[in-house]
Amino acid sequence: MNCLNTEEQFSAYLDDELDYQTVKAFEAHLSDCESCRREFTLFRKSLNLLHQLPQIEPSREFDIALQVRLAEVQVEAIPFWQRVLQPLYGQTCLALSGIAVLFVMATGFYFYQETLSDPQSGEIAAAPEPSRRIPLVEGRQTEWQRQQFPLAVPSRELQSLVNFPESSVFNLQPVRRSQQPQFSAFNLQPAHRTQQQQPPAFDLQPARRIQQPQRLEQNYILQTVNYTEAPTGGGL
Amino acid sequence: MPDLDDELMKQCQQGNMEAFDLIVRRNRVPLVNFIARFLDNPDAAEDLAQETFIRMFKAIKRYKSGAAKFSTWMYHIASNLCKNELRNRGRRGRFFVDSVTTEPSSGSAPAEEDLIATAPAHVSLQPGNQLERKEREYVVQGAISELPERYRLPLVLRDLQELSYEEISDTLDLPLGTTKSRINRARLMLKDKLRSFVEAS
Ligand SMILES: [Zn+2]
Repeated sequence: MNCLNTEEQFSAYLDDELDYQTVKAFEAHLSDCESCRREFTLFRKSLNLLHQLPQIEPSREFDIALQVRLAEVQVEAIPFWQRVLQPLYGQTCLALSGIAVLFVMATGFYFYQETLSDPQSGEIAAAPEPSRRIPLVEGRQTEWQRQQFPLAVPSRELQSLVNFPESSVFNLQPVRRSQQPQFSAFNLQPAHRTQQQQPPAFDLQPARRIQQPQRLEQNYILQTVNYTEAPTGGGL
Repeated sequence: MPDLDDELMKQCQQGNMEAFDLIVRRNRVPLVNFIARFLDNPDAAEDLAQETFIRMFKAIKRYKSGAAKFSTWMYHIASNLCKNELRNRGRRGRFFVDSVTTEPSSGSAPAEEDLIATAPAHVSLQPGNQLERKEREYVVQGAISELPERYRLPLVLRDLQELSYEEISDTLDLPLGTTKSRINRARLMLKDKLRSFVEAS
């Protein structure tokens, strides 16, 4: 093994992908060649730095914006005639029943005045149909709403399937000032993380998983604000 | 081993759409991190991660369970969105530069190399372990951003998203051998870019 193909095997060696023979040859070259030894150490250290990058937390706006966008997509997915007819149907019923009530009251008043013999004529009126609005997020939902907008109400079975907390991305409560948003509530590892590779030789610590996430963005926002405020202050 | 996200997608296909809520919650952090690190821009990352979820939501009926792993499918969509983003907008300068430097940036942005060279000097004026971490993040993120796209993408998928070589090869439609050699090449480039930083610390 020479210096060039030793370098080509750096990753395969660390990821434990070499056969026994090649591992022996690789290690033999490293013990003989100071230059490759130095480069390999540097390689491991730079990879460690990469693995230690802190995790970026999505902002709270992320969840809200996504919720709104998904609701829009769901509304678009409802057939056109349904979208047009549902609100119209409700409004029409309401208007018709309103007219009917007025009519009944008028005729009732008329008959009451003219003849007191037939008080049952008021039964023509239909009960007002509750108007059907399109809900985005509401606490209580009708069966029709459940069918049309299933995302708004995650079922208990699914919640229990993955052990989620009660609150949902689609059921966000406003943040209280006293409470910092607890993103750790969503501290779920994606499925592929469970298939951890064997830790390679040497000290590739997955230290970044333990580190608290840092939001550099906040600094950025502060600076932006200061920067834009400066000219305004000067003007005043 | 059954993939939980794949199971949830099947639930969505059977009309149990609330399963998508759980898919979002399981994948929002990895997805935002992937895009933010690849594009070096956390703000664009949130937009594009949302777009990825929207595309996945619209494609629920077309999703083929088992044909490809869920993560492969998700990162495939996200990667394509990122590539389009790079093509359409070009790079708008570095996000992490603004967050680390203490002076407000003047009209013309200095070259990236200059910023990387000057950043440690800026931050070293301020004490504290947190600043050291910021400096490190800034330097490492800068080194990632300098890699050509075709090396950077598999590197981020492997070393930050922890996908397997097979998953990366599926995600990027690359032969397995090409995927492996690109990742090794990317790591070697990263090593050279971080040489002075590693040797100094
Ligand atoms: Zn050598």
